[in-house]
Parts: sequence; structure tokens; C-alpha cells
Amino acid sequence: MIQIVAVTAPRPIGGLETLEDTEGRVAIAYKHVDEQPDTTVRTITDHVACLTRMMEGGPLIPARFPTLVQDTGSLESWLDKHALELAEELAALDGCVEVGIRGIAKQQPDKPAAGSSGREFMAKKLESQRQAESAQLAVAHAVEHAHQILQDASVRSVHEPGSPSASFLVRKEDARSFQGKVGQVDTGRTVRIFCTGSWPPFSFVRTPFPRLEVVHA
Amino acid sequence: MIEHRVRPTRTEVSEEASGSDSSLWASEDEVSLQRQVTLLDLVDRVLEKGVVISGDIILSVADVDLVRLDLRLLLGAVDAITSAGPDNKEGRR
Repeated sequence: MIQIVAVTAPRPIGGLETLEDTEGRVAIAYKHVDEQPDTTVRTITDHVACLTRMMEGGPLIPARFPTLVQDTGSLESWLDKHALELAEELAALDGCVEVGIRGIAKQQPDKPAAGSSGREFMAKKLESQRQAESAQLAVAHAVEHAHQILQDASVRSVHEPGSPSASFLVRKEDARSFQGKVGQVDTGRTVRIFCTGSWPPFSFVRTPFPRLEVVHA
Repeated sequence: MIEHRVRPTRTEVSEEASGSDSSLWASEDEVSLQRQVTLLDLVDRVLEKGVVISGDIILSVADVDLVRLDLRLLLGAVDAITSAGPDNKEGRR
């Protein structure tokens, strides 16, 4: 089984094998694995650390974890089919990193305590749910607002309406000043906006990687 | 079609927050809070959603934002399962 790590320009990458398309425009960096890797904090952070090191040598299109295929045969056909668009994608990501924002409500909803009756408990529980829904709505509005303000300072951005998070593609040299801009966004008294990253540009990958078909276990 | 059977896995997002009274909402430890949010954001970005099977992966941080993340991951999995599985006509969740 093969785990795809990233697509890059053709170049040697320590610790990984690479496979180029027939015209030498792009390459897949991958490694052989005996079985599906465990999904743990360690394996996830190791994957990101590997990608971060690779980014020091040039742009890349990062694969999510774990992206698996059965053998290199399926990689070769996929690479030849998509080499041109992958090369364009690499050029668009060159010199850029991803920065994220995530909204968190400042106040926790009241936990329903035992009341004098079942009816009273259910009323408190309902009120707690209303508070939670209200908080989530406030977070969504705050992130929407922050996204509108910050998107002009980025190369590209991704935000789904109602989501508590957004992603921005920024020039590497602008990442620090962008993070400063996040801190200046006024999101009201009930929501805090956190800035995360910088990350490999996971949210800006356009060409889907090949992968094994999933069968429900 | 290449078939790949996914093993049940459990993902511990933050061991220090799991099962404790600490909260993403009201934590007074700024460093810890930033760390938790960063980890949450990292997992949200990096995990290959199509491999996640509902009920087989458990994310444990704390409170409402975790639930949101969990649902998003679960929905990704349902999409993949619905397209791959022959007996999911009702789009069970």
C-alpha cells in the first residue's frame, strides 16, 4: 500500500520516494506502508512536519492524512492525466502558506441543574440548548465578519457560510502581518477569533488526489 | 474498483482536555486554549474525511466547537459511504 504525501516539482526529497509524470513537469512524493496508518495526534503532526520541511525546498500540493492507493500504477495514470493542472496549481501556491481563523464563544451555556421537578429540569435544559445555539450563531456571524475584512489581505480565501472557521492563502512573508490583522478584527463581546497556522495549503488544493475506495467496515 | 476496508480508529485530539472540566469556552489558561484551538484546526484541515467512518472515530476535546468539528467529519464520511455503499439509499446518519 502507498501513502501519498504531496505533489511537488520534480526534485529529490529525503526519506520519500518520488514518481514523475512522463514529461517531467510534476512529481508525487510517497512512501510504502504495510497497512492503514493509525490516526493519532502524533501521526497527524508528523505528517504536517514532513510537509513543512518539504515546503522549505519549494512549493507543494499537500495530501490529507492518510491518502492511500494500492500501488504506483494508479499513481502513474493519475499523474499523467493531471500533470498540467497540477503544475499550474503548484505555481499558484508557490511562496504561499495557509493561515486559519476559528471563532470560539467566550461564555459557556448554563448547564441544566437538577430542578424541583422533571418539568423544571427540561425547561432548564431547553434554555441551555437555546444558549448553545445562540452562541454558535454568534460565532458564525463573527467569523463571517472577520472573513469579509481579512479576505482582501489574502491571495485567496475559503469560508463556508455558518462555519466557525475560515482559511486564507497568504504570501509567506506576509503571514506574520496577517496574523496581526486577525488580532485587530472587532468580533464583539461574545466571541473570540483565534488565528492558527501557518499550515501547508490544505484548503486550497483543487485537484482531488487518487485514493482507495472506502468500504464501510 | 479497489476495495479497502477501514479499521475502526479512535482519534484523541487533546488528551489533556478529554474528560476533564476544562472548557474551550471558559478556559483561563490562554496558552492551553490557543493550543487546543490550534490542534482542533490542524485536525480539521489534515484529516482525509473520506476515510473517516461514522462511529469509528471519536474526537475528544470539549464542548460545542468539538461537536461541530465532529459533525463536519461525520458528514464527510457519510458522503463517501453513500457513494460507495450499495445499501445506503436513505443516507443514514
